[in-house]
Amino acid sequence: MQSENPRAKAKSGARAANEQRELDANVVLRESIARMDPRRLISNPVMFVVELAFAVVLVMALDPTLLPFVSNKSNQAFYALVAVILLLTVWFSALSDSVAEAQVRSTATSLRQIEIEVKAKRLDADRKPTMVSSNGLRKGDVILVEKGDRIPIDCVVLEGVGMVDESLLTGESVHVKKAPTDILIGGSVLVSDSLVAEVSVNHDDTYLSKLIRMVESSKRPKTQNEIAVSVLLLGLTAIFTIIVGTLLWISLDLSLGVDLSVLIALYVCLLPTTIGALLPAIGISGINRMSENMIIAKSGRAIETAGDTDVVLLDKTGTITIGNRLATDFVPLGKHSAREVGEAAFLSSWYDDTPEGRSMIDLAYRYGYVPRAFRSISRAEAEEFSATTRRSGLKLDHPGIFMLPKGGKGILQGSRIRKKYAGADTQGELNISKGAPDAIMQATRLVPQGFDKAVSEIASAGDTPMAIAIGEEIIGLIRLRDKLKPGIKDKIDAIKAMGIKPIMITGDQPMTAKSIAGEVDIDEYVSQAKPETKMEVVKKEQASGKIAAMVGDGTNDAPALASADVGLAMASGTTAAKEAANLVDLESNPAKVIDVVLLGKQLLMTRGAVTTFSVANDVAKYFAIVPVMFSSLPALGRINILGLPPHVTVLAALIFNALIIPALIPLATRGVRFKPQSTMSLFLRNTLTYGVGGVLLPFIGIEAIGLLIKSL
Amino acid sequence: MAGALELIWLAFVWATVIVSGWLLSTYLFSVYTGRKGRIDKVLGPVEGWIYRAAGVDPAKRMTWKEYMASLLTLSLAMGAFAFIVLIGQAYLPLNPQHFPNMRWDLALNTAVSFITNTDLQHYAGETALSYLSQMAAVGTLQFVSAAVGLCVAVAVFRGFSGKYGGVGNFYYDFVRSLTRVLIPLSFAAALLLAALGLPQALGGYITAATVGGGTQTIEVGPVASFVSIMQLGTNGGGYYGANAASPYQNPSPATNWLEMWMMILFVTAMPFLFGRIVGNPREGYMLLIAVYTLYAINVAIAFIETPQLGAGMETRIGAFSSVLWTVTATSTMTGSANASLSAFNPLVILAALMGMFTQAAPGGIGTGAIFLLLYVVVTVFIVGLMAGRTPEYLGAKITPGDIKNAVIGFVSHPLLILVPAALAFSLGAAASVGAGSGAAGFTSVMYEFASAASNNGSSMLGTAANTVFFNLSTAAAMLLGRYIPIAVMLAIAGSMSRRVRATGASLKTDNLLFACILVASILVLVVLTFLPFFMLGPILAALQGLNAI
Amino acid sequence: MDISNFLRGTLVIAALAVIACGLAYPVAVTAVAGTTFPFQAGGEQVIVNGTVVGSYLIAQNFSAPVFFHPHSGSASGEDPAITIEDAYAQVPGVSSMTGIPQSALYMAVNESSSYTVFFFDQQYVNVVGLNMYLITHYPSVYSGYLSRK
Repeated sequence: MQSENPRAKAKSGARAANEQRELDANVVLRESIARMDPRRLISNPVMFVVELAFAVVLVMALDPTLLPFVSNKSNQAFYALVAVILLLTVWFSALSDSVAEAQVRSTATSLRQIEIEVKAKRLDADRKPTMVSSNGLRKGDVILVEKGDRIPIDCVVLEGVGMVDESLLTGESVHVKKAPTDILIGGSVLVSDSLVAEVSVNHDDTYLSKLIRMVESSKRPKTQNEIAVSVLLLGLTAIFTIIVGTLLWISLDLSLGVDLSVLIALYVCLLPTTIGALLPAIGISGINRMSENMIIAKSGRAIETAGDTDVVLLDKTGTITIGNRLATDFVPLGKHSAREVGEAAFLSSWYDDTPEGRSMIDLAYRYGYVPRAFRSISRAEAEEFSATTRRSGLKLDHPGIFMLPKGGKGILQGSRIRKKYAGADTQGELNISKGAPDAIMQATRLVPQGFDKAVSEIASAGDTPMAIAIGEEIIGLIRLRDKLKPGIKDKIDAIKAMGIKPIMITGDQPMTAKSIAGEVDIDEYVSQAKPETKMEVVKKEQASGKIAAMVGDGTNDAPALASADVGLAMASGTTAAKEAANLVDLESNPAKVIDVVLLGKQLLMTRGAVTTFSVANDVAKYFAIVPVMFSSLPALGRINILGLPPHVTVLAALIFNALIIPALIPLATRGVRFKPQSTMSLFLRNTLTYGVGGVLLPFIGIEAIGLLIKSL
Repeated sequence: MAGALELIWLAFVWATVIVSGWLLSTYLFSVYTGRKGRIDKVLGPVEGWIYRAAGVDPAKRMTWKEYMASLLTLSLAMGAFAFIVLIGQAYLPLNPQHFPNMRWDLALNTAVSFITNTDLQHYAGETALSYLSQMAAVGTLQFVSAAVGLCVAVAVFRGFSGKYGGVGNFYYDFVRSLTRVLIPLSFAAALLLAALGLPQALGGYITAATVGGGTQTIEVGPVASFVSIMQLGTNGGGYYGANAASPYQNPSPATNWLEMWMMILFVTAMPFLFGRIVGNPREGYMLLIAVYTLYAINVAIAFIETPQLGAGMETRIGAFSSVLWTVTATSTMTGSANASLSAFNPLVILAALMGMFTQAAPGGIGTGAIFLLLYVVVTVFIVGLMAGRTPEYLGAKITPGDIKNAVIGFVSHPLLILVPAALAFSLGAAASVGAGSGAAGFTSVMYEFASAASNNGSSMLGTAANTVFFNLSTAAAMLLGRYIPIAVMLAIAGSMSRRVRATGASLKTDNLLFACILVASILVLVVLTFLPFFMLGPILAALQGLNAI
Repeated sequence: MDISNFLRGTLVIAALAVIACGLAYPVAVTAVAGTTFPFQAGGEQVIVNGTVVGSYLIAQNFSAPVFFHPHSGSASGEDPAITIEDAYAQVPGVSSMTGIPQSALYMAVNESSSYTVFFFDQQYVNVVGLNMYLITHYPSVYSGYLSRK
């Protein structure tokens, strides 16, 4: 029961879903036809009106004499063609919805597989473990979790004590000690010991399952923005209804020889059918694209708000840097030697399972700074890292005889230590503490000369200094070096290009923070951050009218996540954090907050692009149809720039109008492609593509279709 | 096509009006934001007395609904007053020519027409209105409607800016519009016009024994004072039936260009004022560029065919000035005329219709600016999404409520033009005024309602439309065409004034790119709404090689 | 604000607007204009021998062939202006009827002409002004036509 890379699993899941999709084609088809039921279609007023128009033309095709003055018996075949195209237009719209929803279903299926495929060791009545899928777990089941296992489901500890990594953030993040009655969260990893726990929820009730179900559900409330677009479409529909209605009326008044089917064709061409058909699909696909990126959006609004982000709070560790800070150097201070520092670091890290702690032991080994181990190490009292004091330590009651750790090849330094700390009988206790320099400084009385200088030297190189003290005296510093995450600089450049301000949050020294921020070109950072810092920054930015996005995982992040406009919680985080956030990343990769912003922008851009394109299209359709629609006004034929016969023009325009819907389904579901650049550049580029392009393309399209029809 | 001299002259006129508009906007800014100045010593006590007499608190912040209610009540009260004077003028003083009372439907049409800043006239003033009617009835309404226009614009600007805690106080705005802006400016302009030859007398018409042996009635009256506010306030109602073609209303090139300049002055100042009120003058400059581009497009359409001096034009005014005036008067919603519309080729009529359909190129006093903002809201919403953010204007997010209001504003315009026009043909009302079923007849009827709904006042039917049908139908179009857009824009502004302002990297609207897109978007919206009717009217007429009439 | 206060405010302001804009303003303009430039304010009346014979701004019917003639049928029907070409075309007729040399008439036409846009576009002549100029300068020719009525 290895915890595999969830994205790889999702990919394989998506592959399976792809095969599934072939089978789903029938479902999509059936569903799209069911959606054409006028009772269902009424929720999409534009397409409903098109269906009504179809009904009228159908009557004309069946018996033109039912509508005298505005129809002609000899045009019956033409009416039939118009009716067919109108029906196709409605179906294409229904199809786009069905396709988008099928995609969401398949993505949800693949998301679910991430969870499903976690194996669990269920204990039988005779306490014998059986391997089962987490899927099969029920509330009340008792499971065994061993060191290194991913906790398969939310449960409560019954027996044992162990450390649990509740966050893939690592770095500063804490390993939480779990004892009986503590709650274990599904997805977190046990890093020490083994535990027996009772499953507290049925599989389907886990928080993530709830979220995935939310993605699937088609009952998605419309966002403010979608409502506004819908209102606009309704308004355009009203305007075109007035225009076409009065045009019919005036044509009858003035005997202009207009054919109702042609007028209806003009009407349908003018209606914003393209955006009307694709609007729901665009919204669904926005959620779907998030899900494909392993991010669950609790609402469409969260995605849109993400697009509006002005400020992104980025945790340095885990987001900008890998978060594995490794010791590279022991820096002695005062009378002390590097060896003393190394040995103290070694001892203090003995119970420290973080990569940081292990790297200190490794480094000490490499230098040979290994103290003689002492038998009392097993009785040593480890002081865990606390986010408030920002230090950890080790207390030995009887620093007596040091023993070499298993496999250790270091030089015995017993005499030195003995000399220094006196005998076991006279020496009360040995107290080693290490942590952030300022935190250690506050806790100790003796600060050696050159401390500040050494600290700032390390920090200004972008490394993290960690101070180490024995008793009340700081003996030296450990240099910890972190690496930038691959690709993070490009992502930060991308959001900066779009005018979004990144703010780096770190518990590090100001100098360290400055150096790292400089490496990734971040102008604003907060160093020596405390748990409440994020909240303060969010509030401050919001007060100046900014939309703030942030990432969080711990319970103490929950208030900030709730007040941030965009809160991305890590799936590995606490339920409180996930509940407070509006987005949850199943991969628990905090750097993805940037992807969230870009996806949000893409959703808004897609909606705007299709709306603009749809409205711009009308210009061409107008100029195509109006010159040929009044049979008694041949003079208007002189501005028939397409030069096609009337019926051909009308059919070509209608066919173009219908075909543009399926042609744009990929754009609607995939989203507008864009390179991160400034708001105005994006705007200009999209305006040229979809606005100007939207005016020109139909001329070409209608002419081409018209020539094709003519040649038939 | 216009030649180089014409272009240079036009550029000169526009340059002077733009500079003056900018100067006026600084003054208007101080008037509406209450900056103290020396003028307060004189006007402060007067205004204080007015507020006390009326029992209103000028410092009270009104909600948009209160503002609308006050504005509407005052307008209707003034309209009712004018109606009563018109139907009873025979019994009232200052009627030396002993004109009879006006028929009720014409009086209603006239009162509505002037209170809505339309000034559509189904009568000829010199043979129908007493001095009292000209001065106290329609003359007062020209001031009131212009002042209301200024109030609405300022209120909407305040709301959009979000800096004034609401839309302001109507009484404060209205009183100051009259005491500090319209009365003093009209007074100065009236004296200038009188000096240039417009009559200003109350002694009754004069009978002259002409050289040729006949008699001639010299119809003098308080013309200069009337024409002054008519042009400054983009009213456009003529003292005389022939409007500014009449030699007494427009005796010379000097008065012609001065009057044309006066109609563009305030509408040019409004975008500047907007920029000042929202605290970013560049926003105003860009709107002004958009407005002048649209105006220039209309002018260009009108000059596609080189204008020729012909029947229906005044020789002292000339073809060039007649065409430019007509486009300007329709684009500014003034609607005054210095030539008969029948004198023009269909493309001039097309340009005039463009102005009335757009309503913001530059549009009427105050209302042009709010229509422009209506377009801005819709444009920012449609294209702004393409910048990848929820559309914002001046930092305020555009809400579904704004779009709903904007849509009501947009839908109302074609509805108020096309439905009554179709009705006019169905009911035979068009035929009864001589409008046939051809392109010319259709154009003249559509033009009538376009003019009414956009509160323009220009007319191809003129006094022929003095029928019960046209009097009542255009009155309805004028009322709804005036107060629906005002209400929706006040609603948008009222709601925007309370909205949180974002300061992030949203779409910038204070640049040339946005100005270009705004122009394109306005043209697309206008074309989408009215193209078939352009085709049935002036375009068809042009294609048939006929005149529009 | 209760309804009666609201209506009172409206009515008081409406009444004051009528007094200020509808009465005081035009009366004040009339008073100032009438005293400062009475000729223009009175409608630029043409007074011959103490009688008003018309206005310089309004066309009138000069029926006798000794006068230059305006053209009616334009928009106002009162336009006193004709194009300079039109005026030139009338010169020979007026000259032969009055005996005034053509050169003198051409000069008179030119002197009373102006441009519709100050310095370009159409050149026009005010017929009333031109005829009055002739009446003043050639009293012997025109006295008969004036005294006739």
